[in-house]
Amino acid sequence: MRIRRAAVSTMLIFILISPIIIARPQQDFLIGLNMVVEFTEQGIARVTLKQHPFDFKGESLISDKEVINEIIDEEESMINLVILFFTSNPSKAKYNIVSHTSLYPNEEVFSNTGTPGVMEKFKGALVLIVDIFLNSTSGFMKLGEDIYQVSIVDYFTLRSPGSWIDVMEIKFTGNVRLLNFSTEPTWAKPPSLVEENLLKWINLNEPDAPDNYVLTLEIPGVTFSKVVKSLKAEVSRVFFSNATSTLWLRIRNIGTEEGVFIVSLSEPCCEQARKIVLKPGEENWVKFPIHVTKEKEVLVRVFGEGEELLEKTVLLKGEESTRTGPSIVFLSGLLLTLLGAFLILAYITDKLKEQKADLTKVYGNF
Amino acid sequence: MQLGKLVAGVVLAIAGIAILFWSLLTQHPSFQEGTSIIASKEFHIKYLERHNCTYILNQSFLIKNPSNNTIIDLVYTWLPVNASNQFVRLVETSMEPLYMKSGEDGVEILIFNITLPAGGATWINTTLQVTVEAYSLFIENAPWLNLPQVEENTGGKRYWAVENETYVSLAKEIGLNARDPVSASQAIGKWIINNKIYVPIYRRGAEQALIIKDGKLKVFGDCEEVADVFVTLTRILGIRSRVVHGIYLLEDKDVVTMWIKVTDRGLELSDNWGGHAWPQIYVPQVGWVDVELLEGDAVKIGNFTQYHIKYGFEEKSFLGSTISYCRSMFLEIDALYFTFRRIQS
Repeated sequence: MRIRRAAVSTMLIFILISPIIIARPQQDFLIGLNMVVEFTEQGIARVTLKQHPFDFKGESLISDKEVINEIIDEEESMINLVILFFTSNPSKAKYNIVSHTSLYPNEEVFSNTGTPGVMEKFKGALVLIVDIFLNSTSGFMKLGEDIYQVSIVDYFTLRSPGSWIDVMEIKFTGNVRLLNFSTEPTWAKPPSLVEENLLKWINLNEPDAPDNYVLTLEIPGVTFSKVVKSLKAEVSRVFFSNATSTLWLRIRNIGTEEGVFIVSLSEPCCEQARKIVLKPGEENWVKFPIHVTKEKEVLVRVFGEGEELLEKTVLLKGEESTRTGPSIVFLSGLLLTLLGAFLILAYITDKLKEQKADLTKVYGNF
Repeated sequence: MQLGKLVAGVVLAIAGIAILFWSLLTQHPSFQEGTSIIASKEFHIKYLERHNCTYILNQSFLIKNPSNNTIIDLVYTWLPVNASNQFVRLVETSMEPLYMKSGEDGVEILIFNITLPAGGATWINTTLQVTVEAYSLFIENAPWLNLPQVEENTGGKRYWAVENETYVSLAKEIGLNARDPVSASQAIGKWIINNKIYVPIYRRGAEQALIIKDGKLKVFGDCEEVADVFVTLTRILGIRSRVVHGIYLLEDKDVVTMWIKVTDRGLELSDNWGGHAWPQIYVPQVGWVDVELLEGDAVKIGNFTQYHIKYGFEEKSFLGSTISYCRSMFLEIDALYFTFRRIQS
């Protein structure tokens, strides 16, 4: 495979209004890359990556320390790329670095350096070895008892269509057996070497090189283990607003771990789902627009880590505001007010009576 | 005795009035089960406006051989894509392409086999007819995606840090309260517009795009950061979203030419260079709906102008898009010209 470490050609030029783009100071060079994928028992793919840098004239740069250091410094991104050969979700992939990128002067790397039809042999290689646990990758699919399909995607080609793998070797060791294989695109050349325990592609140019390799393998002893997250949730409250046709669900994480919960609502017409991240003990409302007109029941399910955590049928009640007359509190208040008013009135009446009696005493009767 | 009557009356009256007020203020409307009629709002989609604008697009790329030897190399040129609201027809090319390749997420690439002598140069010209449908879409009561779609299409990628705690909190704060995905997207778009610090930079992805300024979270970057932040926040809420890469016509003229040249000083761009990125959301029964957060200060969801030309999408590709309009391995790309001639609007 060849990667161009170019300053200009890899620049991002999607900026809406970009007055200045500064060139990165990296040196412009190419990398010849040979890959060996070895499938072993228990479902491990050991990937050996051999890199050899060279300039645009095809001259080796293996003695250029700056270039070598740059390749070594980028080991992490190279590992990420290698993992992406086997999975679309690298965060879930399990791998083990067997040997970090280091210079092996006696290793050989074959690469096309621009002369059509010619494969150059370079002495010396930067070698990286990584074990990938296939049961943690999305390209690994069980077909039957000990029978698996492994999809390997040449992610370098996907990233940069001009890149390809110069030499790709796929080996099978132990009790691993190749049952079948195919490649894409259809115009890609078949392997140069097909043996019982080896497939080898020597690719002189990009159109010849496959983008995808699909293998059917018999691999004994593969186990699927899963990190079990004990997510638990409850629907603590339900509220349906008829006015806005919205169903409110209060979701509470009653487990001990933070997690992503997917709340699903099934109406007769359709299913809707939305995500919510909750810490232990945390709860929050989620809302759904309701589309049914006659049906009253909807099914609410909560999922976490791909497992259904709970299921609940919710009865949608058309709400109707019905003021059921004055409350006891209201009546008590009214009674007290009236009693108070009566006492004040009685006081005023008594006062008036007193005043009238006093006037009679002074002026007599009229 | 009489004074006692007055005091008792006043006290009772005040207490009674207070209780009356309190009972009126705190009274909840009580609900009882009503009839079976539920006042549902149906999912409503309506195009308020739809019109086509057709351009003849000439893409011209200057290819040079910088070496002292003859080079035979493959040159990859990106084409605008056939997609929702965009229809593309390849009219002609100045040389016969070797083949056409589709990249991840449906990017279309035309590949030429070029032979150039030492120091030689050539132009690759491609003419295309591009029809862009400008539209204004009214969406009401949109449902959320179904469970398989949420599980499959709302995860994180290299540029979309959906597990980042700051983003998770922010998404909850902005959009969790929304009742439908369009309202949630609207709220997120509004937050981004109100908190963006627009600076053209290299793409850094959502994780690096949020900064704290004056004690508040801000979106720092250009169109790509705006799109990445939007996609990250919407995906956290379970909304399927992606980034579109393309060109935005900054000038409303019959003929618009923009260019990039490689010079000794680096890249030079025409003043009207319109390389652009914007997000889309997927709405059930509608499909992909464009979201523009940099045309004025309004959140435009399903309000799409004819100035957007789509070159590719970024949804499933983990490492993101690599659209660079033209690329080769050994030959140099020294100039890129794009001329849009409007022939129908």
